[in-house]
Amino acid sequence: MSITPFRTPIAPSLVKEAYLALLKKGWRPGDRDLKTPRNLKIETGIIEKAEGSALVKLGNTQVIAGVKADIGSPFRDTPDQGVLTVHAEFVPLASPMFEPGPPDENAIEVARVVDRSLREVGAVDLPSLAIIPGEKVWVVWVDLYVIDHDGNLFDASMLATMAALLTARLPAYEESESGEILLKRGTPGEPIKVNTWITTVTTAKIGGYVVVDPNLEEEAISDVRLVTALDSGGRIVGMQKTGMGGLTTRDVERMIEYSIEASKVYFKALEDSIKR
Amino acid sequence: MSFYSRQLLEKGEVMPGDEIAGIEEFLPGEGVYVDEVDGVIRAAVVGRAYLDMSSRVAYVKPARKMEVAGLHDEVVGMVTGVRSDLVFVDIYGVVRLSPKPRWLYELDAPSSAAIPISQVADEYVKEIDEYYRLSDWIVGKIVSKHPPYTLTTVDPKYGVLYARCGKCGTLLEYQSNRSLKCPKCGNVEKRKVSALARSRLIQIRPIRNLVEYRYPW
Amino acid sequence: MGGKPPEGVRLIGEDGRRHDGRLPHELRPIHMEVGVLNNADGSAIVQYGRTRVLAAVYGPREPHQKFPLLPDRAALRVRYHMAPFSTEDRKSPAPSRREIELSKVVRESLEPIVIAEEFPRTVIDVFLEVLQADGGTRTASVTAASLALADAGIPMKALVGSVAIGKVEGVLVVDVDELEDMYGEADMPVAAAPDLGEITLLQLNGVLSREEFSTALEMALESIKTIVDMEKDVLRKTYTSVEGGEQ
Repeated sequence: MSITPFRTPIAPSLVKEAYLALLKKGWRPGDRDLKTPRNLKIETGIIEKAEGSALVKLGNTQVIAGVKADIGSPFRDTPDQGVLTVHAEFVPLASPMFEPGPPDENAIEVARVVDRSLREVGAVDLPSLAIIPGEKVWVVWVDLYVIDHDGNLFDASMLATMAALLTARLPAYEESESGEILLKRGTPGEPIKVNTWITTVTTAKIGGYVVVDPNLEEEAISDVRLVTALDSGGRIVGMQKTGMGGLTTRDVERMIEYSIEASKVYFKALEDSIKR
Repeated sequence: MSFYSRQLLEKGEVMPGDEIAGIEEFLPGEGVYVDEVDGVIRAAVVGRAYLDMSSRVAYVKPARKMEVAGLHDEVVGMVTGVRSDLVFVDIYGVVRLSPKPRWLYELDAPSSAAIPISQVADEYVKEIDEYYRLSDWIVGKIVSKHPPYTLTTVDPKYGVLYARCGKCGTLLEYQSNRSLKCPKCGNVEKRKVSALARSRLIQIRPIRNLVEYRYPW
Repeated sequence: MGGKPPEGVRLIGEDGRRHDGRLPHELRPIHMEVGVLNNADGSAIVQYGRTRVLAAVYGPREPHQKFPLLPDRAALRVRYHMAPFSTEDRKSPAPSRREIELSKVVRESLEPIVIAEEFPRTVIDVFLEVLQADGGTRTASVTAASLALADAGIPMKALVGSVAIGKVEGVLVVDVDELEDMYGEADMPVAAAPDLGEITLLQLNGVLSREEFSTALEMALESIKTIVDMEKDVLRKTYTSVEGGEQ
């Protein structure tokens, strides 16, 4: 079940009118032009108990990703592959609008878009996560934790996921004589093999304008957003239109063009965070 | 609480719980509370403590003011219902009208308020919907202590800031302090218009409350 | 609780030091910071060693979901919650019975100090997220909540701090970590407002003699005083650096 969300009826359009006047000049608040993402900071290894972790600050938006790994059984249709699950929580400390409770449709959408962007191109090498094919494999959880919401949770979540996976180390383990796998938590073992670096870039359409990395206010007044997942070669590896408006072919073309450009900024930040 | 008053004694920075004065010497002012157990006035917030020696009041000027609405605050809100004797309003933010009108801060969540018919305008109000209508953005002043708040809009500076045309939905323009005109279809609607509506100096920016509400399931 | 610690780990060594090198009365390295979140009205992050808790305060406000409000005071709503990646094995994000109990215990440790009577028919929300759990998550939560409430400017009778006293191999120790909690004989979390001499949280899990209890409580109150002094330092530093030379 999904219902048209409640919005305050008049305010968005009042804010929008003021906003459009600024966009017309090619600027937005915070001295940004339409194509530039907000200031981006990525810190990795912030949760020692997690196999991998990252804190992403995209403007005032803050998202933590934590990677946990355990040993489990493979899915029956992919016996030779590990299992990767992405889960997102919009915890109530992140925004006055978030209420305690199970993930709502927005949190589930973020988790699934991140999951698909990784899965469809095999970004995470799942076959290498098999320990005893058909029997025992690594079950890897990526838990996304939004702790401060100022818009564009998709990109912040994807970047956090990527940074956490790239710096993750699976726990070392021993195989006992009876074939049991004993985990040695706290002793880092193999890294998680990442085949392709992925990022998403969110663009929003406000009036006739397209902006990259919308903040909360821009999301609220936007007609529609497009989340484009890209690899480092500029290939499109996933998409999600989100929001209530529609897009023309021209809009989509422009959004992709802006996204490819902005993805370079994101990849650079990712690279820098891994090196440290 | 004039700063230049020689009667004001600064007691320095305080933390919640710090002792400021004895209850037999001073009266408790803002930002303090009376500890009944040992009869002292203690700080309730982080800030700077002062003793007003002329009025014998001990108070704390908070380092960080809470962003809430309260008595005497001038606020901006949206009309959510009109009854024959009462206008219901959701307050979204606190503004300051003088010296220069501006939006101060947004509330965490809309706060319920109502304007009783006697507080709508400085005249006999017969038909309340010739003053306010559903979804108008208004500015008014809080005259009660706790929510749901009572608002007054009697003063000429209070009243409608923004309203939409009942026929075509276009933003109405200022015509007089009792009417607004639609620039698109020419429709004229009666309202209690704020003297500040014309300048449009108060930009409504309820960012956090623009977000779609979550449904509780 | 009970059982034998892993091989090679001595909870109390020959030199009287604990497995991490602390003396019995020593706290773990404590780090505090306020105003770490933009949206929240007040926020704080508190670390006791590897234990890390993030706190946010919203309100006083009208709740979105209507629930019965109190006519004479603000309602306090506290949620203690653990991040899925905070523990050795991934924790399901659905609230457990333990988290529900701790939410209540933490709320009741804050009730005596929040001056809620000034805000009838509103709610003050305190959200606590344990980012990493290594023992003492509830005590770090109380400390973080105290800082976040002060940061939000909510009137309080005093600041509270919290610490757990443990009994490990017969020795009373301050600020138990996960290992000591797991293999020790007793764990006693305490929260208090030293300025008022009020204890606002007291639990005991395990066995203590009458004398041991008195000593443990004394140790707790002494450490809490240290913690609250640290809270005051952090608040003072944060506000004086933001405010500059006021007036």
